[in-house]
Amino acid sequence: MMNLQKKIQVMTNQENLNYTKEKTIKALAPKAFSNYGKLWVAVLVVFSLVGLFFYIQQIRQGLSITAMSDYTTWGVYVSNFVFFVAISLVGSLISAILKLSGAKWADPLTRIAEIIAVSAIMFAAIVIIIDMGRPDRFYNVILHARIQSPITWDVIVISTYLIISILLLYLPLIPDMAILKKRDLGLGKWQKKLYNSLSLNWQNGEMQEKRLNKLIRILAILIIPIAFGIHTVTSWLFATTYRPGWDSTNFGPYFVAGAFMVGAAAVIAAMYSLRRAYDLEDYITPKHFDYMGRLLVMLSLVYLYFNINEYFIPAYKMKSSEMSHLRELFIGRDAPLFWTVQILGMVIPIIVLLFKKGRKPLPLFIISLLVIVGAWFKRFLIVVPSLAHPLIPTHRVPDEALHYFPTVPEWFITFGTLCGALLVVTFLVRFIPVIPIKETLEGQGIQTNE
Amino acid sequence: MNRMKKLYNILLIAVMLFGYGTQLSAQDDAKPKKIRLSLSYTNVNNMGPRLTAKVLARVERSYLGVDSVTVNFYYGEEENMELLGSTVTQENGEALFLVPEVLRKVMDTTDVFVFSAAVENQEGYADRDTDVEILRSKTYLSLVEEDSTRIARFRILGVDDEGEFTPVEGLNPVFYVERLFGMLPISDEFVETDSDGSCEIVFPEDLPGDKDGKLKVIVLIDDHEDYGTLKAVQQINWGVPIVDNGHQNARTLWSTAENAPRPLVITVCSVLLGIFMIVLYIIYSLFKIRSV
Repeated sequence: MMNLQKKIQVMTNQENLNYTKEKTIKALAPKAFSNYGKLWVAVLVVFSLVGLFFYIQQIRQGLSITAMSDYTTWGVYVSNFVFFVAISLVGSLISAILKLSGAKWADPLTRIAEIIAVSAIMFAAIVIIIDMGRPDRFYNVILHARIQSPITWDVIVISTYLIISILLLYLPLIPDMAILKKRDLGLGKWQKKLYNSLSLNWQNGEMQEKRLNKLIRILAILIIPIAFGIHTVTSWLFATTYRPGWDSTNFGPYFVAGAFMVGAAAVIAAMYSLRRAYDLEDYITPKHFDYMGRLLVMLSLVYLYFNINEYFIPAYKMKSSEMSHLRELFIGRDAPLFWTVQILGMVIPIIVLLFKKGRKPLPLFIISLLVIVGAWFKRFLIVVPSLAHPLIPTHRVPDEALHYFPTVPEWFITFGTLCGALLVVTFLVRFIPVIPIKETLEGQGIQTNE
Repeated sequence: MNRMKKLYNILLIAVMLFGYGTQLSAQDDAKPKKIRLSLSYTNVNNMGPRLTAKVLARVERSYLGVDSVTVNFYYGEEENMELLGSTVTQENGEALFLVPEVLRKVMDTTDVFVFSAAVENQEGYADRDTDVEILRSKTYLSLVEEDSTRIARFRILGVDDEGEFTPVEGLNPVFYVERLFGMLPISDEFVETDSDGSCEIVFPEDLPGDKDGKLKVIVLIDDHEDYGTLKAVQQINWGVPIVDNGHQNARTLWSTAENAPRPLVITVCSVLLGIFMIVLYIIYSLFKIRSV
């Protein structure tokens, strides 16, 4: 009698576990777009196409359709490129640094971070080709590469980071795809076929699991120096010159700190949007927002510290070469944008996020948007004003050559790339589970052996 | 069905956008474009003059040079104009024409030259013509050393009403030295010809020349309303000779790709090799996972 009761109990437990398992898998499986989702995709497609249209005009007419000139040779495209590189660093922050430091709470966020990283680094590469004017010039960059040039280092490090980010996105997906391919979740035939080939005959065996975990760990370690490298090298594109505002030994850590800050904000914005769009309240909880809020405030404080270093010391010395650049930033033409970015994009987020209420999902989402927009304009302020104050004496230069404001095609192309990156994120989210299924099941104490 | 319809709509928007661009350029092509035509006269060292016509067309808000437009060049007043020849504009919209030897002999006996340039019967462009009237002149450049001071002296003579060469006073020539990417001014803007038609400057002694110290000195009167553009050019070894110290072939950060510093090449290659060995190991391991 006792045996039978025990047996029934075990069976009931097993059934419960199975029920929970299937419920979790169903909740985390990729879903078709809702009506809002379709509208979102349509808007992104339209703006991406408009951007593409203006890019074709740029190929036909050359860079003369931009406001760039002999002096302001880098404009909104390069600041957009720096922004994308910055955002892409979040992959290493969440999937590598937090994971290796044992922050288990961040596990559900790893895939979101990796998706953002892959799409951002893809578009960083695209944007820099757009900036070259004629895309075939990229071939010359490869063909006539000088290993002494930071531009060559940047091309190498971006390509490497893209490959490693794709691998870091793909490897943890293997068990999830194996789980998804076996279930009737309303997936298309081609989708199941794709999952089948990408799941690499995953049987959840001990050997397979051991190997995969080892590979993920190797990648997580490898991506950290490369992530630091990618943004440090990007900062060297500027810091290896003598230009006012760029001639700084602080630039590498300054860029990396800013990148982690905007990357964390991007993950928070994605968390909030995906949580609402796919009803993931049980998996992305207020606790995650609270922790991400704390992380963001910590990263913002580090970035604030670097900002003080970056501006206070040159302003204290006021070298004649830096003077006009700093004056323009603090009280001149660029001052309104500079102070808006510093206050709205950094100071206010720090103050709000210090309070628990500020780290609730909605306020944190709004603050993250402020940080992202502020970060984009911050890159603009790093790139453009320095070019307007060259060290070489300007001789018989028309005044307008020293002023830069992007033209309509530049704005649309830039906006098109931002929409394009969001479109890639949207489609990746549509076809792969945004929260790792296997790790979630294991977190609930459920075996994933099929 | 619905999906097909949406896809069709997206494609339609794309086609409309691209079509708009094509339509715009088609409209641009249909109407003959209004152009600007300018003509300038240049004489270097009193040799045969050169005519430069520039054709500009309006593109959006600015005027840009137009290539492949044929420009006819004429000599003489309107009633007895003679066609000298034609040239086609380059990418920057400029068409250059060297005055033929035969005409130069005629010009030696004439005090006033009238040249015209015309764009005529060109498909897609409205007809346009312009002319310049130039007074005969002569320029002289002498580079002399007086009391250990190097002096560059320029003199200009122009024909007066009686057809005699007399000094031209009050012109502002600029003295230059030719550099690799342009001309370096070595005089200030206040240099002016005196009643003898002359002006001079003290030549700087620290300008780098070629390996023999040669410099090309140029004195320029730019686009004068009576005399056009006049240039006097002379070469002299007043520069500091450049000594080839072999820096071009040294392995430095600023040399060519082939001459990159070895430690840098070794470091970059080692780092890349290390990273991509790991990436290859990961890809290989994925195949192993598949085969387990």
